[in-house]
Amino acid sequence: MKSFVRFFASLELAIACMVLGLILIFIGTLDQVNMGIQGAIDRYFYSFLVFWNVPNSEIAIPYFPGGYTLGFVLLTNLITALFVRFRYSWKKSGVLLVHFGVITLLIGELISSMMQVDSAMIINEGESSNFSEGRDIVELAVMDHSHSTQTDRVYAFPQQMLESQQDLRHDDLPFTISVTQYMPNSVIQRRDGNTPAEALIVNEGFGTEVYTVSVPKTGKMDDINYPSAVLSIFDSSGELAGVWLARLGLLNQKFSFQDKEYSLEIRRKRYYYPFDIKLLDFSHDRYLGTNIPMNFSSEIELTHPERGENREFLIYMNHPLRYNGLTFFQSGFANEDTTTILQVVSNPGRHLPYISCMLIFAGLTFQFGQGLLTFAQRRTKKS
Amino acid sequence: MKKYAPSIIAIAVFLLYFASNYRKQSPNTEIDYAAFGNTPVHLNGRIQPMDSVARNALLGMRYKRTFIDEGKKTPAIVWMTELMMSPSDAHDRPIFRIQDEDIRSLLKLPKKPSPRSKWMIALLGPGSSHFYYSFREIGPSLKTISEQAQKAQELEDAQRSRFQKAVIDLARALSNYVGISQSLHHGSVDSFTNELAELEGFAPAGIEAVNNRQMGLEYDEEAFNQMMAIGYLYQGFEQSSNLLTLPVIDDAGEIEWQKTSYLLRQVLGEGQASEVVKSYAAVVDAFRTDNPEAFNDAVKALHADLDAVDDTLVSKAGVELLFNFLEPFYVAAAGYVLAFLCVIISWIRWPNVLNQAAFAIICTCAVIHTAGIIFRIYIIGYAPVINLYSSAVFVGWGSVLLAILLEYLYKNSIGNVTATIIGFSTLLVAHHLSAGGDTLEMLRAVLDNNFWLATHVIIITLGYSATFLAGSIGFIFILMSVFTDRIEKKSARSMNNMVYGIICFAMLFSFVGTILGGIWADQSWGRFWGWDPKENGAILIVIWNAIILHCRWGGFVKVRGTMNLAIFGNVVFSWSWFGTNMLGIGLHAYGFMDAAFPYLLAFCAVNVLVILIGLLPPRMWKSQIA
Repeated sequence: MKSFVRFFASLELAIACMVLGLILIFIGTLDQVNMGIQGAIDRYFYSFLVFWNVPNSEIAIPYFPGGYTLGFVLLTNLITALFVRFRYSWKKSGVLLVHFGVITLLIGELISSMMQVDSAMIINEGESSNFSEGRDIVELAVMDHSHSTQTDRVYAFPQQMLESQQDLRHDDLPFTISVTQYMPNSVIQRRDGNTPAEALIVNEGFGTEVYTVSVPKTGKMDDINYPSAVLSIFDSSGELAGVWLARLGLLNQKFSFQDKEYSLEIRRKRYYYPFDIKLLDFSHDRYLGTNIPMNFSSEIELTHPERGENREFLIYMNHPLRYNGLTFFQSGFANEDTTTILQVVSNPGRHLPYISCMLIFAGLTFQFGQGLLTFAQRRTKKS
Repeated sequence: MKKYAPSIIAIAVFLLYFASNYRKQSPNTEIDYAAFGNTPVHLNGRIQPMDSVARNALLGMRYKRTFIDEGKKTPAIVWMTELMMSPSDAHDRPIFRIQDEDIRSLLKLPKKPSPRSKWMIALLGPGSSHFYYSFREIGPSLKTISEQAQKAQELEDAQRSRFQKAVIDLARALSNYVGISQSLHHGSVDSFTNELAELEGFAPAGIEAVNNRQMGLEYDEEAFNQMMAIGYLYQGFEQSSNLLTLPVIDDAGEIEWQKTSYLLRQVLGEGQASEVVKSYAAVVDAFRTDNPEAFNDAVKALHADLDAVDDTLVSKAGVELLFNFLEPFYVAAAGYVLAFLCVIISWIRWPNVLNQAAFAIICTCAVIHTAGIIFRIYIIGYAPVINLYSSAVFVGWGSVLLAILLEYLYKNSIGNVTATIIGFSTLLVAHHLSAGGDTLEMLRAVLDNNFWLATHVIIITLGYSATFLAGSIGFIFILMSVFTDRIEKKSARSMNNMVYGIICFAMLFSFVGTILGGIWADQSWGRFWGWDPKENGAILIVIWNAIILHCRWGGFVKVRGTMNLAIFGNVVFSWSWFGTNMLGIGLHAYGFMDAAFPYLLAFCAVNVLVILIGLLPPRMWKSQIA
């Protein structure tokens, strides 16, 4: 037991973790060229093991510890070292602070990696929005149009249910949707002689003319994944009522069931908020005579009826709106500068790096300052 | 006094060189080109002197800031003045360097005789890479070039072949060339001043004719047609020029920059062109009639007119002109070489005198280097590091200052030799990075924040500097102790202390700088850490420095190990600094460059080689350090 603890608290283990981390980050960065930044994060940094896929086969061989493994081992190492190995004294307090800082940093990154949610709110000038859309997460939305002409009732099924091909049911829906096929990313093709049999079972909507082919997921910044699914709709007696093809971007597939109008679509996952954001004005200035952006800004009006709040705010670069645990950043624009794209981030761990920065700065300065002082004293003594 | 003689003499020699370099900047001609070069214009989002426009434009065409006139190196402004005012003469100057063989054969450009003498050819080859062509020679192929460039533009940068990249560069240089030639005058008539007078005289009749026609009344057809012709001419004039030359005060009382063609609106709207236009016309005409005296007077009048619009314009442009003339980074680089030679010779003869001289020159260079950085800050109004070019200048500056401190503390010439090597090599790198043109560029919105530029960027760049300095000391240590017997126990120990101290500094600055970067990212992109290549590069430096320090504290490495680890720090440093930018992805890819990849590899290879040498068993070393 003692030797086990000593191993976990050892400096050798810390150095080994750092060397492996160095290599991991290096190869991960190189692979970002191929698989995009997000792709490499999933594969190298937010994973326990890094796998090598044997070409032309399903076999994956782990060959390197992933970011989570290294992070956890380093964290354990640091914490056990604090109990076992560190000698507590005034002189060493700087070192101690630095290591507390590193622990905070690692925990902060762990929290971010698991809990940070990114989404985008797209608003046209003069319009308002109360939801944002996830970048890479979708949902299956079934809309019931029969309630009123103004509003639809929407039933949203999360992506995980599509991935695991569960049957989709809701008490208020008179039918069940069974996920016959799900592709995380797909391209669309017109039906022809080569159409595979699985695709031919679609007998309603756009899917009677086109079918989708699965392609590998992309993690690149400018590329978009187009998930698609083949959905079979059964009535309460288990009778097949129709088979549909749904894909991100295929809109307005309507059908009636028991005299009610429904439609279904795969769309980006929506996060709804209890407040509205209205875009009053978007401006985009460029430097004179160039295309270099000088400034983008969105003038918005925030309304929170429950709290009776109503205020205006200017969001621009390096100046986000922080509200309700969310942060709204100016991230892009569209439609000839009349539409703003705000990035909405919720990250419960975002304060930790600030604390860690202060700890590390204070610790390193104290420690190295002490070293410098001793050095200077020795020099004066010599001369 | 005698004690300081070597320092004083060394500084005096160096300052003489500095002064002679300054004098070379303004050509010894009757026409006062330097004064014309001081004229402020607006380009790339900022006000700059004509001299800067000329230097950067020529850099984009000739890959040099000077050209050859009658066998003599001549400043760019001489060429640009001629191009602006009398383009048909300028079209014969061979200022386009076309290195790519495929382009030369596509354009059917003739092979040029080598400018080198016979024995130089025998020694260095014919220099076939230097092919210079004039606009008249390239002229017939303009259409081919623009077609090829358009095709290449459709591809992503990474997919373009060498030929395609070269053709895009050439097309850009040509369009810039045409733009400059049309910036002051369209050139359809000989006398700009007469044209202005005629325009002013004709304007009332012309306007009346146009108005009458529009209202369906009887109108003077000749005047109307002439008006149309003028409008057509000025439309073309406006489209082709690329400089904003006229500061005009708008209704809100603010200065708005316009192209020279704006004069037509002034004449039609207010009855006459502004004083600035008239002075420009006088300058152009004086040049065309070959009248230096009138040219110089007209330039003076032009500056007075510009002062009347805003009295800071000319003086601020003058500061940048002074910066161009002083060439502080070029001079400092030369000084570092001189100091390096002093140090090397000092190891063979006159150790004290030459070392002292070297230290004096290095300190002078550091002052000039610092002055150059301050000039840039003043001119652009941002903290010193805004792009890859300025980071190279700054990394060198930080390392040199640290090395000076080391030399002051230890006086063992190690600080001197590292200062000179790093100072020169970083400025050389910066020089090659500046080939893209204007390095004083405006910052994209997200970077436009002086608080973070002054904290995160400066601190992390100093962290890079220190890492590089530690690596360089290790590099020198290994080479000197393996191949010479100059390193004894005591100096080994002091170099070890140096490296340790510098790595502590590097650790502090790279760590704090990286975290500050994370905080900036949290402020502007909404995430503290995004695993972007540049961020990963920064954390690699931090981790590597942490590894070195832990290895030392744990007693796993002694002198030799520390040195070797520090040298590997150079490899990590070069990857983080440049390698990550070559990937061309991520939010930090502010200075994309792939041409330098072989150099990066060579740099890494050399460092690894020295590490391997350092791994030789100590008994094979010439110096006994343990």
